[in-house]
Amino acid sequence: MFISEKYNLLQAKSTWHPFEKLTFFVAFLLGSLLTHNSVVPFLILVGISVFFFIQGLTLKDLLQIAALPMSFMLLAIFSIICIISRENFEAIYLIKLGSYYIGFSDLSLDKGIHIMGKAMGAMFAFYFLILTCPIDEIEYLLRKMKLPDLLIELFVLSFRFITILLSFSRQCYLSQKKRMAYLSFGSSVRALGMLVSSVLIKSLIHADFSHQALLNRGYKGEMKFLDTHGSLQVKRLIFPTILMIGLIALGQLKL
Amino acid sequence: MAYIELENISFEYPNQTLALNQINLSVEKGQKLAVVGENGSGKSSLFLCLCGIHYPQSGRYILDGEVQKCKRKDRNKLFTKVGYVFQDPEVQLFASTVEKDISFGAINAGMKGEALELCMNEVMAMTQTRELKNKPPHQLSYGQKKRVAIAGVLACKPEVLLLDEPFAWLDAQQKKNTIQILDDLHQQEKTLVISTHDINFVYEWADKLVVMKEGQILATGHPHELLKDEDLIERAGLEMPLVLQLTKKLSLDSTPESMAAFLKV
Ligand SMILES: Nc1ncnc2c1ncn2[C@@H]1O[C@H](COP(=O)(O)OP(=O)(O)OP(=O)(O)O)[C@@H](O)[C@H]1O
Ligand SMILES: [Mg+2]
Repeated sequence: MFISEKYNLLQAKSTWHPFEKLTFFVAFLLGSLLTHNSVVPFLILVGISVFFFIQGLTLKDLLQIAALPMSFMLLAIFSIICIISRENFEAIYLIKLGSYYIGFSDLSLDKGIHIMGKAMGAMFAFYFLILTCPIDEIEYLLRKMKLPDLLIELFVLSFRFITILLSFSRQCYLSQKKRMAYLSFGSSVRALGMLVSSVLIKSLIHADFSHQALLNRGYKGEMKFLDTHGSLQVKRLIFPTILMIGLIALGQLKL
Repeated sequence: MAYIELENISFEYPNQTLALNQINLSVEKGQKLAVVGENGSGKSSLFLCLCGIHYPQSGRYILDGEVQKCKRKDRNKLFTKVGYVFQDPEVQLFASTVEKDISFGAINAGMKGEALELCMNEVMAMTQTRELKNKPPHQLSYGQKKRVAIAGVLACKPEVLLLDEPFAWLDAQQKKNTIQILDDLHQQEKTLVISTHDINFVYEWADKLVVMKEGQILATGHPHELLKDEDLIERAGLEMPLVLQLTKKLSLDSTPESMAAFLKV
């Protein structure tokens, strides 16, 4: 359903403290964004991939996860690399179309690879966080970062509602499909409209009942839960912090 | 005076459906009350009024000697005394893990530290939810959700527990577990009120039965008495318990109190 649940990275999930994962994430993110060379993003990509493989993800899974954002990225990078000009220029590869020259030069290629590396590194850093933190740890992190309670409660409730509405719409869609609602274009449009309106009504009713259920358990406008995460051992933050400094420093070198 | 007293309670939904019509009912502390009646007879509405979510438009509701007024403060107090387990567990579970969801009510009831831990342990042992505690609610099966929903309400330590169709959609084993929970609660002298369509269970378990139809109470009394009355069963759209059907068919003299007793005869 959600990628974080499809690929359960159980080991890291249960034994690491959320803040440890967050520090790694920040290290990878800053490492990729602040770099001036392409070595650091490359290291980060390889590092995170190796970590995923150790945790039991297969190459196919990894490609599947990365495929969609990667394809968008490649498209964007292509537009940076490509130079279209009326005049001839010094290029590695060049073709002439009518009165235009299309091609890419040393410089544009360098720039493209550099940006691509940064973006991929940042993306993998996010995957690292998403795949290792279940939803309640993300909630915990938000809470500890002193975000307003309102936002966090909104986050918790909307996540929960989205899961319910998704499963409801899936069932609804299947039952419509089994009753041959999606055979012609006209009936599909009508069926889809009915699906959307019933999901809307369901969500309103559900919100009403949920509110009643919350009241019944003593909700007075504030959500407090058991804090299930043990205290953080500071020494476990040393390695990711050193990693962060190392990556940033390495990124400052012009290689 | 009884623990719960309802005097001429009437309740109408905003769309002018009269869901409860002049209800009179008294429930003793520690009693096992069952409410039966066909679909739409007002069982859920009765529960929603009992736990203070809906306000009856007329009538008097007395709990533990106190008249419940429809004020916000009163209502908050009512919530700590009367817990309501919804028919659909989906509307009740909202936190990101099972453990957090169960802790929600306990923390709202003012528990902290050791007391909280004790309460959580007790409730999770009772409902067998310990092995689920780190799972998010949307990954649970229906029966598991139902158990977590019960645990979440029990964690508030209510005196009265209302359960709306606790056995709907459960398999035989889950049903047995739920009955076990009910028995444990009865041992702790909690007042239990359940609504159900399982007449055989009612016959064996309840010590008071309320038969409802179209928002009114047709009869109250001990299930062994009421369920012999064929006329009442006909009017309320119920079914005679299997044990009674069999004894009648076999023309036995004694009426056994449960299926187990029947099989011994
Ligand atoms: N939210 C609502 N708004 C308007 N009318 C409602 C609402 N909920 C229930 N009703 C109506 O109130 C009456 C009693 O419904 P209630 O849900 O109490 O029945 P029930 O005995 O619990 O039925 P079931 O066995 O199907 O759960 C029904 O006629 C129903 O249509
Ligand atoms: Mg009902």
